Amino acid sequence: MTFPSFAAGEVLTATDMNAVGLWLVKTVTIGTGVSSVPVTGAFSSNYENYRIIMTNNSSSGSASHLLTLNNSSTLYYVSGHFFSWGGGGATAYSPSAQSSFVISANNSAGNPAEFVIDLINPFATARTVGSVMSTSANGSSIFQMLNANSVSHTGFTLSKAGDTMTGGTIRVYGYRN
Amino acid sequence: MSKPLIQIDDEIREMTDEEHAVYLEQIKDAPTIGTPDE
Repeated sequence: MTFPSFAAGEVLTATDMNAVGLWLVKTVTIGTGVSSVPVTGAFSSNYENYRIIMTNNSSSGSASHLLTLNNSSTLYYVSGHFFSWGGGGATAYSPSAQSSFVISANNSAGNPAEFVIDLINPFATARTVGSVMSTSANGSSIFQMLNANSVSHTGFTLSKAGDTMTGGTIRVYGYRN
Repeated sequence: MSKPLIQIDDEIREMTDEEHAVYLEQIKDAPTIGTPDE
């Protein structure tokens, strides 16, 4: 089916609307000097899978960004690599279980970071898996993600340890089932 | 001593004791990975 094109005043048909593959579920604009941004009402039975696109305009230090699902505090795993811009090899990163997903590397004070995250089944009572691509002023990272608890989540928190975040946007999209 | 700021939707405020405990749990083994461009 070709992408529908609507004109002002035109009737939206069920066929066209049910073909929309991605739907904006939640938007949060990050304020000034915050250490933690819980995003509520992100996940529901409406969608099995989600894309989260986040930007953080600036933070006060170099700590890695963290993403924590709202009903799990253990058994967070990431595995992948991080890189510096302009040369050097990949650094492998696959730590033992943590209390949050580590989703960024090579941060530095006053500089931005950006994230593209896919999550599979965060609302289901099942393990949650996903992937994150992040960029910063100094480099990038690609990680696969696993939370091994069979728990249903309705939201998540973006945070940094000991640093504060200023500016940016968090957008959550549902992939149509 | 003041607590870190938390943002829920458009509200930004200091964390409550309970929220601070949750935050400390979330960051307790948080690393700093990569070499910052100091």
